[in-house]
Amino acid sequence: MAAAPGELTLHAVYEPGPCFGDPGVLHLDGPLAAWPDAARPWYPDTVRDGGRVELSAAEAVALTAALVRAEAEAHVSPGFRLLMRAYRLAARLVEMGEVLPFAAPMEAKWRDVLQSWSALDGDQEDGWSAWTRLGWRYRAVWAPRLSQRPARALRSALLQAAERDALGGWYRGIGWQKQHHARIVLDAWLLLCVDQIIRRTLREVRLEPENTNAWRIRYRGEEALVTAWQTALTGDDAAFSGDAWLVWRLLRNWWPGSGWSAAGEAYARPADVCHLELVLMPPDAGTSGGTWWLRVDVVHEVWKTRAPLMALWMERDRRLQLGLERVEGVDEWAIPLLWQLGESVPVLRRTVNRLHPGEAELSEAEAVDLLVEQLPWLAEHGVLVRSAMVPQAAADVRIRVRVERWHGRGGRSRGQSGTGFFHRDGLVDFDWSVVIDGEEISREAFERLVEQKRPLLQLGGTWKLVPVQAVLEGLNEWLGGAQAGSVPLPMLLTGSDDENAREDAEKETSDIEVEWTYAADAAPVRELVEQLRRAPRPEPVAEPSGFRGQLRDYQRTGLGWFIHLRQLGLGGCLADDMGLGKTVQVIAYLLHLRERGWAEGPHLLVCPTSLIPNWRSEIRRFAPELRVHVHHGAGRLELGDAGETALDTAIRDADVVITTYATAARDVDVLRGVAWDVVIADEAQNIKNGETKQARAMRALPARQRLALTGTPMENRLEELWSIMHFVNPGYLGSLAWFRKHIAQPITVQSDTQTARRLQQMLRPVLLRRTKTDPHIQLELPEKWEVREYAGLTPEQAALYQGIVDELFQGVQSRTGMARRGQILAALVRLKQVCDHPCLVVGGRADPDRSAKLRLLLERLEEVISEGERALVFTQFRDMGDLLCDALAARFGFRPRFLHGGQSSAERGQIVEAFQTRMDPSPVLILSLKAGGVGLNLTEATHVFHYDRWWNPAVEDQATDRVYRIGQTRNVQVHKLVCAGTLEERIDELITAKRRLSAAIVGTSEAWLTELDDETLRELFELDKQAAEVVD
Amino acid sequence: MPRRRQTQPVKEQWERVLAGVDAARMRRGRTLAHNGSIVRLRVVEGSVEARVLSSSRSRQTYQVTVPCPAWWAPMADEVATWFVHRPDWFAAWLAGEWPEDLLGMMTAAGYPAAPSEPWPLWLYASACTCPDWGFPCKHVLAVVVRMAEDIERDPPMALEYAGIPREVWLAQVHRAWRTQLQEEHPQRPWAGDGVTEDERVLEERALRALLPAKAPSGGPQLSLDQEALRTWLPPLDGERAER
Repeated sequence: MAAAPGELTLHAVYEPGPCFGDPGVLHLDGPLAAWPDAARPWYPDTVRDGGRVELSAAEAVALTAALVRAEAEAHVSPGFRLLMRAYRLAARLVEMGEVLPFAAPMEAKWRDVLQSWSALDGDQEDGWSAWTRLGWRYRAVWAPRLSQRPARALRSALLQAAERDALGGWYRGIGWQKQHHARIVLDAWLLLCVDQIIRRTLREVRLEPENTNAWRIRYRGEEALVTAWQTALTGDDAAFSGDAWLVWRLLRNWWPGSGWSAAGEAYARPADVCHLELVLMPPDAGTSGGTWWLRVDVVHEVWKTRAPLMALWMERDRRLQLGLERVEGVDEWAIPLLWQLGESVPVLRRTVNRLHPGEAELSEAEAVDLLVEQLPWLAEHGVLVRSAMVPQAAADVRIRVRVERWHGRGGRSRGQSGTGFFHRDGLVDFDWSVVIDGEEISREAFERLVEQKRPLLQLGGTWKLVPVQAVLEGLNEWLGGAQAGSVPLPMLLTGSDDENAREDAEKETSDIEVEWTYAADAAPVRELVEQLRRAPRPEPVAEPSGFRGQLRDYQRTGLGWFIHLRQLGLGGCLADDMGLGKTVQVIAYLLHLRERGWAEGPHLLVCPTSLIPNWRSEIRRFAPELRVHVHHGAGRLELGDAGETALDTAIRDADVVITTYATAARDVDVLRGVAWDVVIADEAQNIKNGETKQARAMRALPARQRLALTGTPMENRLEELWSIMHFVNPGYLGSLAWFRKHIAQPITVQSDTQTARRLQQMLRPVLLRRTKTDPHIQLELPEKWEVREYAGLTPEQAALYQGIVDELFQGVQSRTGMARRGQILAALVRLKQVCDHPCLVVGGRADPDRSAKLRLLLERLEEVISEGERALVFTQFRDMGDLLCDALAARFGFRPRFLHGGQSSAERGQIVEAFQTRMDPSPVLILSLKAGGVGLNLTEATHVFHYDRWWNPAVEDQATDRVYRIGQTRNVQVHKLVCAGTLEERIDELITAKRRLSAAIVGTSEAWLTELDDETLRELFELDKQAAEVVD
Repeated sequence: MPRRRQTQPVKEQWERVLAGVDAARMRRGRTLAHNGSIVRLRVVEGSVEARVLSSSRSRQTYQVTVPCPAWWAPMADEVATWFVHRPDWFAAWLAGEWPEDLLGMMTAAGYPAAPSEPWPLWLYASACTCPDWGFPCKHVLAVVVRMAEDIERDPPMALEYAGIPREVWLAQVHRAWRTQLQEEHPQRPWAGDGVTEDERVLEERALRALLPAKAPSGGPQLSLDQEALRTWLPPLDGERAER
């Protein structure tokens, strides 16, 4: 900008007059060639003036305006350029209305006038007294207002420039000292410019707007003064007559807030115009753990420029150049400020506590702390932190789990030895990384961050703040203790994108997403994982066409689940609550396999001995098409006529082979030679200990698919669960050691709910459990529903039974009438008693081992009790009632009360009361069928057992209603215990078939039986030995 | 930032010095010190000279002279050296703290923050033009209170009242640090990242930051011919450039 030496420039010097009344003149000097075109109207006459000219104040402003608008700065001297800059400020102030009327005596000294501006803005009332001596001639002017900081800063910058050198023009005798010259010339010039621009453009002025102060009492002469002043502020004549006190008084109304007291000094206070910023510089790229630099910068609010505090110590004096200003006293302001802030942010004290303060070296940890922890606090206290590296919070953070490789089978083969999907070593290698805003951070790198407690990452030139804690929580949630490495494949399910799981996750903790990726090697894993994820949501499948009965919806779902698992080559554990019909679901499944022709061999069903009759009866009832062979008993492996065992035949011909755990363990060598289709472990708690012979035998059996059934929840006994799952899908939950370390211990020892949830997620595909309390299930359940439980007969029972039947048919044929009826009824009672317990007929010990039905009852009651529920047991025999009390006392340690007809009604009422209020420690109450008369209310029980049958449903129903009453909120399950192969089963079938007609046909007594002819009677009474499955 | 100060060692020193001054007089002196009656105060050659307004309505002032607690002006260089080497003292002091070790060091070196003699001796040479014959008069006490409070509130005032004005020792510290910095390797990691902006750009930034004036209601009102005004306004380059 500055003209080079020798170039033609126009010099200008503004010289205010000696007193305020004289606005002074502008001296111009320069060869005509130097005069810009824009100044043409004021060109001097070179001949007459020799290039020099003096312009009046008014002309001077007009010329300057023309040059400024023509941007002719390049052609003028530095001094003139400063005047042009001042003009720009003045013009802008006028444009913004930042102007005030002013007046002072013509005779006042310039310096006094300019000082009075500061006094008028400040708190000094005095200031007029000096004017009284200066006469009554006043000059009215428009003066600049500096109420805004940018205006003060600009004026201060101009003043500093003026003081440096730019203005010139002082000479002895000018009327003021040299040290005041710059300020007087500059402020007088600003005043002149403002005044001239307004006078040239003014339309109207009102010093005191009408009406606003109408009530005010006017001083004498005030109105005239205001009018005269107003006139003097317009036009060319600025002179008016005034009174010092009155003028000052009016000025005091207008001037406070003008900004002139703050502008009184040439140097702004840093506290008013600056703030501190901390600049944090990371070590050179690529070096980790290096030294960071913290530099303190002073930033000027108006110029928006900065200088390091350190630069102050390079200046010649204590003034710091900031933008167009030199700011004085930065040290006095910044250093104590840093010291005070340093109480909370200790590194700031380090920037100060060093020779020539202003910077500090920081360790990485300190730098991170500053950026991460202290930045907001500092901002609150007006100190900004700047860094190319100011970390941004990472917007998108996710955990990426990469499944690398699967050590299991490459493809799916129909397992010949075990199901084989999850071998003991069938682990999946996986690794994880963290993806931050699209950039992947390796596990190692992330672990380093954690170790160094440094949540910062440099990504593509910016620093990202990593929510380390959230990621750790996410990792823990999804992967648990399992760090990268090898895990059982189902662990991958725990990162399920299953919607339910996702919802659960949101409820719980982290919002970090997990995404799963699969390496090419692991493609089969992906497929399997996805299929497993679908497994818990199988489509219901309608019961097969040959199925005699109807499945409830959830049972159809169970059927669909079995089928889905089979397609995946997986086994499963069905753990529905007792009474929900696990058996029928399995029967429907086996029938489905048969009808589709999918079975690749016979199925093997392993159950406790007592349940064999039940299975057989249920299969016969629901799926008579299925051919059943019971592999049990002493002669089971004897060679038959064809030189083969019954088992060999069955393997060829039968659909289902039923055996017991004990037999399976004993005959494992034979059974393992068979290519079973489905191997089912009923009451799978029998293999809860994986080391037992039974469990080992079960695992040794080759199968296309393995199923386990259990009615007791297992999640609480984790190693038992593992053992059952290990039978169903070997390796599914990893090795026992792995399972203990990563699953069982966190759950049991640390009560880690996340691990528990993870386990649940892992199990979801292969464990199906519905409970009676599940609302969806409940909808389907009748308020009371009946199940038949089938027991067999012990050899003793079978022999007694056969004896009674034989005796009856020997005699009955020869009798008629009442005698016949009596004999039939007597036999009926004795047969029922035999089914109940032999000692009712022949006496002897009340040992449960003598009655298969008693054993069944005890097993069922055990389940009821373990669920915390209560039961009623009805029997029609008084002796049986006592016997049940003894047996329960021996088995469970509590003795149930027995409510029967021999008691007074008060006694019975007390028994009922005790049971209802739970005063009775026994959760079981025994009742005689007939004593349970109308009026008893036993709604506390949810299970009703009919230990023996009354061949009239109405009587049983009435007994059942003891429990099921209106107001009963819980479902009631009715168990009817039936000895398979005996008249109990057959009459039951008869009643069921004729149920609708029951009332009409059978009345309320059992007498109708006596009316049957011999042949029917025989069919009814005869013992089916095979069905009764004589057990020992 | 509010500052909590556990101990007020300097204040205690002053209280010891002033122990035994008539309480009523002291109270009046404190009132004068606090209500703006001290209109001019300067330190000249071992004394603090002040003008204190008479408490009557006459606007009369009395000329008060109080001896400086100490006179260290000749030792200004030495005093500055403390701070050159102890930037923490420098910072804490300016922040209104009296570091214990600094106070201890000053006292040991004979630069007390309060007069070393009790008031009857110290104020023996004080003077006031008021007609009160009591000693010390409330005008003297007003100045004494001002001095004590100044030093307590703003520790560098201790030097001010001992003849070393702030600008003097600050300039000396600045000079010393400047010398040291020049001797050091001046290279800094940020060397050269300062942006020098064009004067014109900065100037226009400030001009454009100006907002229309909020004229006080009831004040002068003027309306300008905006058409005419436009011919007087300079173009704002930056505005054009930045648009």
